[in-house]
Amino acid sequence: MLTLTSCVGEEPDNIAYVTAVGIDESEEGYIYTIQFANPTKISGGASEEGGSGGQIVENITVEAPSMYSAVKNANTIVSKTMSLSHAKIIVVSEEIAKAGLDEINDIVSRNNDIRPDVYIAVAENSEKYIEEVKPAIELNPIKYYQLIYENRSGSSVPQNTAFDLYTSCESGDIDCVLPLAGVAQTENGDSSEGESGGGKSGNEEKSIENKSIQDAKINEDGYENKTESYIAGQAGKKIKNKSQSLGMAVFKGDKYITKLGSTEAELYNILTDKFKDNNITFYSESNPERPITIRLEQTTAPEYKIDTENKTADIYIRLYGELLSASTDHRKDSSITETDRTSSAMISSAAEKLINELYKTSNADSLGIKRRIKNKFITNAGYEKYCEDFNPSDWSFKVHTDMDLKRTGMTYYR
Amino acid sequence: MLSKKQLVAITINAITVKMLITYPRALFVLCGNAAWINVIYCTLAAVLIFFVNRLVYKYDYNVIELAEMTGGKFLKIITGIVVFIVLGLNFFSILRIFPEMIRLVLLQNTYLEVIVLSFVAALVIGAYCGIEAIGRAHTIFIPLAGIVFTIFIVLLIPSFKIENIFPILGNGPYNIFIKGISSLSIFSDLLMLNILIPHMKNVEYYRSAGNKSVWIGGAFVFLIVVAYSMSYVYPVSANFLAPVYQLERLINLSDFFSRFEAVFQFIWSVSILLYGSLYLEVLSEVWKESFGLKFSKPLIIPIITVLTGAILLPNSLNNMIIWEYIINKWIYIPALAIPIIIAVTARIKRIKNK
Repeated sequence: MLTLTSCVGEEPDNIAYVTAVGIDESEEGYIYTIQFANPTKISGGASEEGGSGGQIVENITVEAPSMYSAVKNANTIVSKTMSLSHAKIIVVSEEIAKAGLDEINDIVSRNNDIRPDVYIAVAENSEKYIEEVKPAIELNPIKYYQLIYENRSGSSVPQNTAFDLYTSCESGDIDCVLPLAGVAQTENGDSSEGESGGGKSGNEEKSIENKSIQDAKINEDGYENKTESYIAGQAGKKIKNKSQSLGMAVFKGDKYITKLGSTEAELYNILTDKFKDNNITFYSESNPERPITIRLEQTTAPEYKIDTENKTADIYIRLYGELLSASTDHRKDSSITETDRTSSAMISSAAEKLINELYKTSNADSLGIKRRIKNKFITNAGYEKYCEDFNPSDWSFKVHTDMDLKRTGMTYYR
Repeated sequence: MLSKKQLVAITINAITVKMLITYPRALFVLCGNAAWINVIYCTLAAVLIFFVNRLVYKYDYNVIELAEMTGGKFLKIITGIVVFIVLGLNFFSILRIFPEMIRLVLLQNTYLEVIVLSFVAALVIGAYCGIEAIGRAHTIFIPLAGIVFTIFIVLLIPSFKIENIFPILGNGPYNIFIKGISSLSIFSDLLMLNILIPHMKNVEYYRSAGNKSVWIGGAFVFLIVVAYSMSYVYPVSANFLAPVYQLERLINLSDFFSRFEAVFQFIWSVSILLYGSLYLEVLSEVWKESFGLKFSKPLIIPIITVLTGAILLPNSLNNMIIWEYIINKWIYIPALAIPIIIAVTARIKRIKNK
């Protein structure tokens, strides 16, 4: 009887499903941007099928002291009752993230409606980001966020969720990193020509010149050579959809401290076993103008050998590679071993640079050394005593990459 | 008469049902991430205690009948009242916490009183069906629950992190092995099995079903605790009210299978309804036998009325959890000791008579 309650309490027809919530600071409290699905514009919910046009999501911005009062305020404006049960992402502004996400942690852990796998992203202006989310080739907004934030192949954001943030803050044995969200800057300021939305077809809409691309840092160290390490908003020269998610926000406890680019996020995923595969470009010594492209695949978790006495950690990464393109000099079988070696060294060097950035500069234990040394202690009391003096910047790291170039595509040169 | 299969199913359900609500949290608060060691320790202790029970308990009567044969009506009434209190307390926390959890996760807009009354009505109907019907329902349901449980554990494997079980001794050996002995309360339902002896062909059924249930029930409890321990890092694991429900929320198989709670809530509810009906039936039997009454069925409604009034005494769920903690800290002692004490007394008396 208790389990066959069906739609008791609220009919699905009367519910507005929130897909994203943005939180910004205002002078008197917080500004909440609530994005909810517009079911009349979502045909069948399948991404492949055509919709009836128009916005698949609607946004409401309200000022409120907490998320619940924001939802309550929104309920007075929208006829249907807001439900957070399908919310996929919470975007917080940098100011709020810097002050600490303790309140969000509490809401996510305490609330039965919000799923533990909801994403939390940090944006310069979360309202702007949410307003610019106008999926064109997706008719289901949840699917849109899912494909952006859960894509392990070619992912340029850390694959962490609200659950990871909550556990890291509560246990204190790791410092979390979260995805960065942002909006591309145009010359005319905010004049948005969204990818879809206003009833026009995608072809009718004009692309915009992304002015933020010039701020992107170019990698010169071999790994992802000559490609940009983007921060959200910087990718794409001519684009239609201005909202982006790239790079990572580094946290110390529940407080945001710094941001790093998409290349660093990719390396972070490799170091934490959250990387699946991607095409990576490497510097070619014999032909610097023509990079080598290798498809990297990670099938085994990195191994951490940690010495708690000397505060050193050796990280062993094992990757499989497939040569996708190379200059003439690198095509021959004899040079494959050399490519193997140099590419591995470039990965190690880039990973060590990232770790130094995290541990020495930011003093954040983002790889969870504290979590990984737990097996060296017998009881929690001994572990907690050791952690009292734990300082991430005291640690030194060495990354050993073992990359096997398993295949060379459809060609093979002697 | 209950078959061995039915008895095993009844006792396994009674042992594991506590794990579906708040009990694992108490284990983690006490032992930290080493709760799984505590479960192994207590399972082995329960096996040992039940081994002693099997050695001394060779009578085709339950403890109340045996008490009467040993010490007359006075001992029978005393034993009956003690057994009634022990079983009532064992049942008490579930009777309150289950409706609270249902309100928390399923029926958020429904009054607690309405949920309690619906739950109680279902228990009364179940108890009126009689022990054989409850036994048959258990044999149908437990294999189904076992299949769901296996799928559940398999789906959780991607969330497992081996480092979460370290430091291996969690909050320390004192908490695991000395203070942690109170986790034997998981097995306090063995007393209920003893009460069912008159519904068995002979005492051998009790001995065999009890032994099997301790092993299988212990294995279930162990798997739940290990899964929770590896999925949630300590001290996060000590924060959640309903650990198994929290585990279900981690299951996410792409778009098409991300709400395993729906299956869990069905298993959870049926399991507790069967448990509650059984306990209500057993409590009325205990009262009937203790005071030499002819029928037990008319006692069902008065007993549930008293219990329903009592469960509303703690004014909040938090207070109820404190009550549950205190009950579980001590209840295993009378629950596991009564059959042994009465059986030993009966033996001594028989030897003296000879």
